[in-house]
Amino acid sequence: MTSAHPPQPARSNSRREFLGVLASGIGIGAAGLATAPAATARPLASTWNLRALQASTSFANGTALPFFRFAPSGGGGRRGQLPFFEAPEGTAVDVVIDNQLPIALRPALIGVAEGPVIAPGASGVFSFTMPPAGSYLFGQAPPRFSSRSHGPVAHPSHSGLTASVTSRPASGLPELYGGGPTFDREYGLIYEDADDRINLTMGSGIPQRTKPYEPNYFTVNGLAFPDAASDPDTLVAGSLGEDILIRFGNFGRMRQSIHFHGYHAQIVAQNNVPDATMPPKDTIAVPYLGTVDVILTPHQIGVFPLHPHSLTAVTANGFYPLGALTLISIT
Amino acid sequence: MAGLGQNVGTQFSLRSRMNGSATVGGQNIATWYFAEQGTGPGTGFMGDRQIPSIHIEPIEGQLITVDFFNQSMMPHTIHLHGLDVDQANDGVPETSSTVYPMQSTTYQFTAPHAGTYHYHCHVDTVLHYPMGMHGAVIVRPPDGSIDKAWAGGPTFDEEVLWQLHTVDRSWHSLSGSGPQTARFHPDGFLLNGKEEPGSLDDPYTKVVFPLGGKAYIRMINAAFQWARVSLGGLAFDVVATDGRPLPTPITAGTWEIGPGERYDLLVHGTQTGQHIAQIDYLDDYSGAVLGSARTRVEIV
Repeated sequence: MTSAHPPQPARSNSRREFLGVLASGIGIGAAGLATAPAATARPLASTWNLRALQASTSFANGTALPFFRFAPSGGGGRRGQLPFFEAPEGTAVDVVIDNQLPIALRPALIGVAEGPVIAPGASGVFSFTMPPAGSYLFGQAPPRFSSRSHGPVAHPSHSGLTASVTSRPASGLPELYGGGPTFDREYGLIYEDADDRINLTMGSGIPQRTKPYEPNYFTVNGLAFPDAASDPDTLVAGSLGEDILIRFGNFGRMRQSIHFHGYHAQIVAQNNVPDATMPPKDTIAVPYLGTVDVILTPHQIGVFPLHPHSLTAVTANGFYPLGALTLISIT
Repeated sequence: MAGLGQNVGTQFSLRSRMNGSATVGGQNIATWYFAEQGTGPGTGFMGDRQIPSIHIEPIEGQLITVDFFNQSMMPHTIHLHGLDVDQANDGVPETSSTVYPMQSTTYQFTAPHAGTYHYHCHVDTVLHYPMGMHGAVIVRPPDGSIDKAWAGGPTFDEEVLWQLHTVDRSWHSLSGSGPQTARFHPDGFLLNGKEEPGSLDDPYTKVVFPLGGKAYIRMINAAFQWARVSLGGLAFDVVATDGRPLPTPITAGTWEIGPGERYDLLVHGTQTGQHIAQIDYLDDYSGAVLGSARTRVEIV
């Protein structure tokens, strides 16, 4: 049998068609797909509350993997499973953390400030001033262990203790930084990885490192495909010709190379430093503990994958495509 | 031109093959690949090996058709990586379509800006891709010329394709993804499907160009690892990436390329001599060199 697919002019690819593809191809539900992203509408606050607690993430290979997670309890929202906070640059911020984990925490706004050690069962306050406008990672202070070391996990930042932080420009305008690129809508996509040999020990208390770290579970905003593609803040939805800001961050141990199907995107900043060295690219390197901001201006409608090209990262323990894959849906 | 410039056109006919082989680490491994349609086992790359897949050279601005016959017993597709084709022609089972065994389809697209692109199977990609089902797409300028990178771009005297690839030999007896594809431990480090010593003097890999001339190297990283590239002390200009010219070329002595990325390098022949180019494949976590592939750069 022969079939042909002539190139399509811009045409409406409705959510119904999209859902039909997903339902027939991978069997996921439609929850969340009809919800417009609301990240820019969330309230600004100078006090953020977090609880650190034991949780789990379900993967479509049937695994529910234990994670340590932050849960927002005031002052912010969520993107997928991860807390999300925002405030204008220069704002004095107090992050109140209730540590319900069996391990000590040391929170950090990566590259900006580190907070106090918070003992198991205790609460603490991490105070800092919002840095210049841009995209930031919040989590456990950068690990000081070797990826090949053994023994207790002293800094479990790779166990899911992650949040994303957006510092807004003082101008109040929808721009990445004062006088910087403007956008019509925005998304934040944080990539993480996990080694189940470590995470599976979390359920019984302190996680143990018994093998060299080699992740086999991968998430974006704490979600794996297909859940990632049905989360309204992780599915990148927009309209033809809009400027869509995507704030990529990598809180996994594995550096990622994120491939856009259907589009090239323009890198505008790396680690909050304006960057105009590259032309539009379809594959974007996102380093460990780094952020990369890109502007996607869709020239065609359709539904396209967005995923790492280290393809084990698109799996759940090897099962493809149940890892850090989401979709772009342009109408 | 190291085999390039021979496959320029607007119509291409490819088929999938799952009966290939290659020698890696002294061991014969099975490979899967795309070959031109025809009879017999078929060949990939420049028509001489069974990993990586055959390359194609469409012309910018032209309507391109790729007829694909799945001559195998597994579903496959062709994803046109970086060519920004529409959804129906994107070759992704979950959002486009699947080509089942012994069936055919035709992919159509208008070739974008001249440059270096990629194609690969997007079915169970974590396995089909490293098995060898990936090839190069080199979009030629609108006039079809093969001695310049794009209209108004740099000209060159020699052009070479470097397709980077690593192998975990234990994966080459698998038929599908699962726990066995959770962790990739590379034990073969290839350049255009060859490891040393074959890569050193491979006629489609080594770079030979005249004093006063220019060589154009098109790099595609089809490995799961980052790679760091150097030309044995020769400086080069990074002039394009992912099919687009850099706003300003960057002069460098080493360059890192991530999985799925492409970079085009322009090398000036300012002094005769022989150099050993080296591709170091890097550990995803520590950045340590896992293994290398090398070839020659000769200015004569």
